Amino acid sequence: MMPTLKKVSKLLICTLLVWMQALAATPPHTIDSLQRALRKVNSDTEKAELLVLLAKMLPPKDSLLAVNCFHQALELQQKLENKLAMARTYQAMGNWFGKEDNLTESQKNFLLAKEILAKDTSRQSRKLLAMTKIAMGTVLGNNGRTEQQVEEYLQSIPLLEKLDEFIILGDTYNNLGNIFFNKSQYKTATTYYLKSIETYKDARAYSHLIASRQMSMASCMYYMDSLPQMQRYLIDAKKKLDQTGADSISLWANYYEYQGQLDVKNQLYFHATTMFNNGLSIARRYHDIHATCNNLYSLAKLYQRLGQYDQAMSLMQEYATLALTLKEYSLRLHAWDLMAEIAYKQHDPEGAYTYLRNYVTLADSLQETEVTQKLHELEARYQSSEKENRIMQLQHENERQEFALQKNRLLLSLMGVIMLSLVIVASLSYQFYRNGRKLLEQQQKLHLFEVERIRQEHQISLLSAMLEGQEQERTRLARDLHDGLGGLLSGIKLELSTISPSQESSRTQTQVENTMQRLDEAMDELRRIARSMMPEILIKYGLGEATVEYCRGLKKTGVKNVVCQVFNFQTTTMEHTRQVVLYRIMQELVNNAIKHADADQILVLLQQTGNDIFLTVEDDGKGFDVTASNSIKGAGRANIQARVDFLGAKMDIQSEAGTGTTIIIECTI
Amino acid sequence: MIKVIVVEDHPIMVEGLKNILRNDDGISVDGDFSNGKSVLAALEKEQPDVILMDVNLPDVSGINLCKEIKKKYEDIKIIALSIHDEHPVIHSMLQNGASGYVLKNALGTEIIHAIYAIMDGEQYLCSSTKEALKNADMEELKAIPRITRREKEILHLIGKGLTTMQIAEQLFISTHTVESHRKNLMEKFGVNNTTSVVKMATEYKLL
Repeated sequence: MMPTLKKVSKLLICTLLVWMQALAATPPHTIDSLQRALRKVNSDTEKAELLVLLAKMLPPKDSLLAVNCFHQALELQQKLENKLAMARTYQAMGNWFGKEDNLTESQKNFLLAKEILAKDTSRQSRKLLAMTKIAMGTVLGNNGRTEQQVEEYLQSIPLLEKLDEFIILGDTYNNLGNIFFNKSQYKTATTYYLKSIETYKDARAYSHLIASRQMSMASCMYYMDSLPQMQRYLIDAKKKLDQTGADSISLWANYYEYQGQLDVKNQLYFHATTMFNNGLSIARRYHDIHATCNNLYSLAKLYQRLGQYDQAMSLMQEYATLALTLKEYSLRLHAWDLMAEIAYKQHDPEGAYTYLRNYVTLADSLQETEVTQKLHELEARYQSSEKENRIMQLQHENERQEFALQKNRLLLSLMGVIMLSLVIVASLSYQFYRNGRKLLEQQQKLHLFEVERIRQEHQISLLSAMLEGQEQERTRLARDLHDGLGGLLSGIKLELSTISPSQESSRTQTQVENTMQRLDEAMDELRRIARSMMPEILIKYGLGEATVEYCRGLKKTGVKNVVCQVFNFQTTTMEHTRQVVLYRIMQELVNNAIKHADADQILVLLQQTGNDIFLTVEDDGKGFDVTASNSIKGAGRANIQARVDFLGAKMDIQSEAGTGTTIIIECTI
Repeated sequence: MIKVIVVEDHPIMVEGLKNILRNDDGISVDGDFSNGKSVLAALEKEQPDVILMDVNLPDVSGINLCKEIKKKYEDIKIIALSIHDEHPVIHSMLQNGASGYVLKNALGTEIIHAIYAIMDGEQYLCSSTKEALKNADMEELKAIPRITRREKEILHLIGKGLTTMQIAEQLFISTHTVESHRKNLMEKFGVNNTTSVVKMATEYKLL
């Protein structure tokens, strides 16, 4: 079984490692001096830096010590809280582990560095981040993780572009080109090489770099069978190389090789031989093993083609020896392959068999590693997909739960809203109900009030009708008494008085006189009754005169202590019926005072002020408790109250035991 | 002969009067009328010297009739006959031109005396009437305005210089009531400010 042989006879190596691992093999005395410096230094920052430097320089056998140094440096930096320095140390550790072929640890440290740097936006940290990505990519690439390598490189490009770090950018493009070249994707490779060339902007200082890229382009063209193009790139490269100094002389080795290859294609075998030999001699002189190998291989191929098998074999043997020192197994495979063929052509089956056998063994083992790696990759991919599935499932689960939660929340809030609105509606309706009830109550009250008012009005109208009827009746009676009975009695008295004293005896005379006396008394009584019923004077002269006359009349009956005064009362302004009613009130009040108060003085005042009438009856009697409602109860009080109501008057009773009673009736005319 | 007519609506009274007057030689009763209308009509034909007039007539008030007759016939003398001994009635009859006022329960002799007296140009009042007028005059004389206890309290506080509001607060009554009392007091004393009321009340020794 033949391994899938790459068409490539050579490998383009990632150049970055050159400057990153510049001090791969440091002489012991440098380490010693570093350790001495470490002892002298006081500042923690410098100490940490020195420690990192020392760790980087320690020989591979001292790996434990190196790791220790790194950790010490980290501790110091942690103490100083210098994040950037810590990131730098992590990056150095990543590189160191990468060199130690410890991919896991290397990756871990790179990721730690990235994590620190991701939060920092300073230029320094951005650059460090880009470098970390590139370094990580390189380590990944060294371990065959080409895809991840490309990823890291590509991620670093935007950062580098922003930072304008065009040297590193050019290198990164070149490395990308190399990767695709090694994968035989020449077309893709050419785009990256061109981009790399572009970054240098044709600057003279970078001629060697431009030349190197142009030669890579030429190589691509070679494999793509675009010979004229290849020729052109090689001419351009030669022009650039002519501008460079001695430091890039090793590039000439590559140039001669490519030129030779082109010559072989053009069947210029002699020129080609010269070219290869030129390259070989330069490569050998500068110990460029790759270039040496490449030139050896190409030359051997040419000799094989030319049938000079012995020369070819001797070249290949040198090639094989050199290839064994290199890591790249493909070179060895090429060596075994070609040597087996040459041996066969030399009619040396034994040799051919041995080479072939070496080839097959190596190829098999490579295949196996490849298969194993693929298996690993597959497994990893499977696992990751499994994980992804799991994650998807979890996510799905989460989403479902989230959805359920959301649904619940929605339901809850909906319920809340419903509850709230129910509460609001309930409270509103309660309020409404209460308001309605209040309104109803008020209306009922109003209605009751109205009914009461109507009842009172009715009562008053009844009362007034009654009072009026009463007064009319009284008036009629009083008049009848006066005019009828009074006139009769007066007439009788006159008749009697005409009896001449001389005509009868003195006894008869005395009897007549006695009778006349009785008649006078009868008439007085009649007048009194008539007056109390309806005083003529009240009808003719009004309340003022009537009140005065009433009080005067009281004096005649023996009540001497009544004082009556009328101020400004205008009979004509007040309705007669009302005057009569007020007169009755006055009568009743004065009577009460006489009967119950036991007073020395009774004052009756009637006063009109504007349209208001004030009737005041005051005594200095024993008084009574106003709050005790039954004080002036009975028919008298009821009569007064009814009349006061009829007048729509206000009755104010002030009474104090010992001081007397004042009753004020206030009404309009 | 003194010509007398009687205006009285009560027949017994008319008879009694006629009897008394007829017994006197100097007096002739020239007629009797029971209402104001008929007497006014009769007066147009012939006027007497004296009219005995009841104050209470069925058609007109004697007070008004008296006034009307005196206006037309100045020389006719009128004696009011009345059952009323109230001062305003007496007073208004006399004011309206009556020369005498005799209560109906007076003796017959008093009526004769009255006729002669007024014919001599005097004013005649029967004894009861005199008594009634005397009481009234006494009251008029001592007509110093009286004030109530509440008015006294208020006047006292006004005198102290309190405002209506303060008075109302102190006496536990409304300001409206205080204002009413103030107005009444001013009206009563016939002045238009409370300061004068206080002054007068002090003069009358009411405070």
